Amino acid sequence: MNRQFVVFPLADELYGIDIQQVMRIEKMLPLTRVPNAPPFVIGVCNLRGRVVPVIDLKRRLALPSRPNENAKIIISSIGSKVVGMTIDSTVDVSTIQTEEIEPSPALVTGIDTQFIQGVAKLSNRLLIILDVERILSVDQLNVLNDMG
Amino acid sequence: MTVDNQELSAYLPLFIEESKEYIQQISDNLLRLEREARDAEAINEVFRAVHTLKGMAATMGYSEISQLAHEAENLLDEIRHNSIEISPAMITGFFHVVDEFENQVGHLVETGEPLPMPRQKIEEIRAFLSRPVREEVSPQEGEGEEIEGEEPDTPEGQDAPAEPSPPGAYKLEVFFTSDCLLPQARALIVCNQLASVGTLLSTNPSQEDLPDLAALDKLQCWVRDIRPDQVRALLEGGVEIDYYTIELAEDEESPPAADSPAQDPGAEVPDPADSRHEAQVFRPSIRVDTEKLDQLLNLVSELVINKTALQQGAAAYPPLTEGVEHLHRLTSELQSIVMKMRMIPLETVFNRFPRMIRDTAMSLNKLVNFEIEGAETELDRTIIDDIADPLVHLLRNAIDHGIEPVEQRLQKGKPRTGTVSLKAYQTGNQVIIEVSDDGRGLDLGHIQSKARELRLFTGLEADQAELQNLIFTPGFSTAENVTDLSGRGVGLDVVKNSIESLGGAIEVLSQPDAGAMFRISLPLTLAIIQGLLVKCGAEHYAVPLTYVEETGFFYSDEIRTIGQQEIIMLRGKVLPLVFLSKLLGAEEAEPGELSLVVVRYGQGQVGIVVDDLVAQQDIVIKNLNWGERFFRSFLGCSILGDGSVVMILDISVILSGLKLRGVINE
Repeated sequence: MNRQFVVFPLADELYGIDIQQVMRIEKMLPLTRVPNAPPFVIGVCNLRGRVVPVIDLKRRLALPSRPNENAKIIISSIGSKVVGMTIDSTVDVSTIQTEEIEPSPALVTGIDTQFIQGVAKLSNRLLIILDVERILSVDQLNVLNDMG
Repeated sequence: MTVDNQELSAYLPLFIEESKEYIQQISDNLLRLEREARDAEAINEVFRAVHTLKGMAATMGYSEISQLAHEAENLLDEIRHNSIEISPAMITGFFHVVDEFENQVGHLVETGEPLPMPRQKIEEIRAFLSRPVREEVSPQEGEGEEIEGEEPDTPEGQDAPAEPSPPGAYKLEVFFTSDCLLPQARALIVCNQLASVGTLLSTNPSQEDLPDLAALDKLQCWVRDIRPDQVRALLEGGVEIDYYTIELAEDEESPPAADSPAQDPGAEVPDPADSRHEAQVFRPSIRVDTEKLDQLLNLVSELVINKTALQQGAAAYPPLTEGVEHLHRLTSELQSIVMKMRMIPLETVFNRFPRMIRDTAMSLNKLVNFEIEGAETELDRTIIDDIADPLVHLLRNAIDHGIEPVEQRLQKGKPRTGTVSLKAYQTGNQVIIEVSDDGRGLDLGHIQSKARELRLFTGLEADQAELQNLIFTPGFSTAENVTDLSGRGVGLDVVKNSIESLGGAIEVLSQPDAGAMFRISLPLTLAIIQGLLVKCGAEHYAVPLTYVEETGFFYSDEIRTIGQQEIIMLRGKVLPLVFLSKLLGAEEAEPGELSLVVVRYGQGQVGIVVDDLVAQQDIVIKNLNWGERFFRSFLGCSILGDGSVVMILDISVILSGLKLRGVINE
């Protein structure tokens, strides 16, 4: 079976999100800051009449992040939640055989393994497949929020 | 007579909704019966509701529900016919059945499947239902009653013997559909069919009379040498047969004499369809999917946003003014109609309380009279959904901690039975719900000592009202039973939070030994509110106008400090100040002229300092429905005419946070 992924670089690695979890990809939208939100929630935006929270994916994954005017927003929907995630630059769509996806090795990437669904080889590079549900999980956010 | 599966699923939502209505009716009338056991109308109502539920369930193929209803119906019918006074034990038995119905329907809602019910459980309920009657009732039979009431029974019922040998006689009742063109002819066909399989003893109306009757909706037959399943095979799916019942004819029950008067057609036989119409208050209305209402509201919201943008644009272009003005009026009207469509009466929530009060009072061994007033008061659907839990909490508290045990009440010279009342009414654009009891009231002494312990006020004398409202402070009531108004692990702070998250407020008024009253005020709607746009640094925020008492300007050199609290004097009174920029981590304002939004806070006022007041306008609240905890300082957000998003401040939340940090000392 084939799965399709939206593939994009973050820091030095290549990341992928299952295309079924991606509603659309937008250019950076004007954001309104949400006071007292966790640092990776960078604001809310108006997505065609719908207010959507936007998180900085790099900060969420604890990767170094700095402002970037070429940033794009992946709009993702999980259940009834619609959330935007900022990424650095252009994206690609790649098809990967399900059996080529392996469970994530414990210490390969430097990002929290709970956010990783698995890894796969993509033209000699390692593709890290993100678990969007975990990334957007309110419980997770709350835990982090409580801690910090 | 079951519909096939595909059709079934289409009817499921309707079935669920209607079942809930009937279950509610049953419950309501049982409570009526509990007050007045001889209320014949209430028994009839219960009977009709149970009967209809049974029919509906059978059609859907939910044999669990229909069997249960059938058992209840049997007892009810006996009660009805024999004018038995319904005993408290029976009512409790019926409530068990109601619980079971609710379980079943709940399971349907969740899974779309009926909850399989063990045979044993049905037997239990059957035993429970049959015991009280059999003891006190001597079976008496009479034709008059036969005609009056239907005694529906399904072939699976208790009277159907398991062994195939044909036992004695059966009494069979066949009901024809109301659109049956020639029921007399149908009846004759049924007679012939029965006679072809078994022995037809007699019928009512008699076969001879049948062709001459003007109308007919029910045929009674007494048959023998025939098994129930044979009858079923004959009648099931029969054209123009609405439903039929079959039961063992008892020995003393002989077929009526052939010359028994033909029944008055249609007079007494309750038709399930009829009872349904009767039960509902008739109002020409249609059911609309709530999702469609939400969509409609969203569209209107968009329209309001665009209208606001247009209004701003038109200000610079006079030829447009009139058209925009017209658009404004139309939009407002449309908006108010859409809002009204979303309003539902509090009844839907209040309805379930009588039963809960009864059970709670019983379990605590207290006598409680429960009064409801203003159940017809309407609120937005979204608020209704969330108001139930806080009310349950307050009502339970009222019985548990408010109402005294009977002996204590008598000692105090109060009536034996305590009164808990729930009252709702609308004032302006708010709805007030009051939960009150005539119990012991709050113990101010305890509150005071607990407040000292928690250092909730520092040396200053708090007045009575302030003291009482301390019971809403988090952590106040959980440790021990201090306020005598808690003790379930969940404090009143939770109640307060949920009310405030609905944009409402709660306060308590109490008199020792006279009782306590909790007053909840709620906005009529959460969707579109009037808001004040303020500027804070480079950012804009909206303040719901309901909080705002007044606005003004002042110069930064007017600020004084008392202790660590910054204040200004407003018309000779001290007004504590809160700087929005500090609260929200925004850029601080430059010294000079500042704007002030004075908001109500508890018994007093607080001045919120902002950089500028921008505008007052309609604000469409959009919920984020995501990670509510860190959006807690906000009621939601809104999209302005220029497309930008603005956060709507939840004043009560941001100010209550402050109080905990000791910024405001009253």
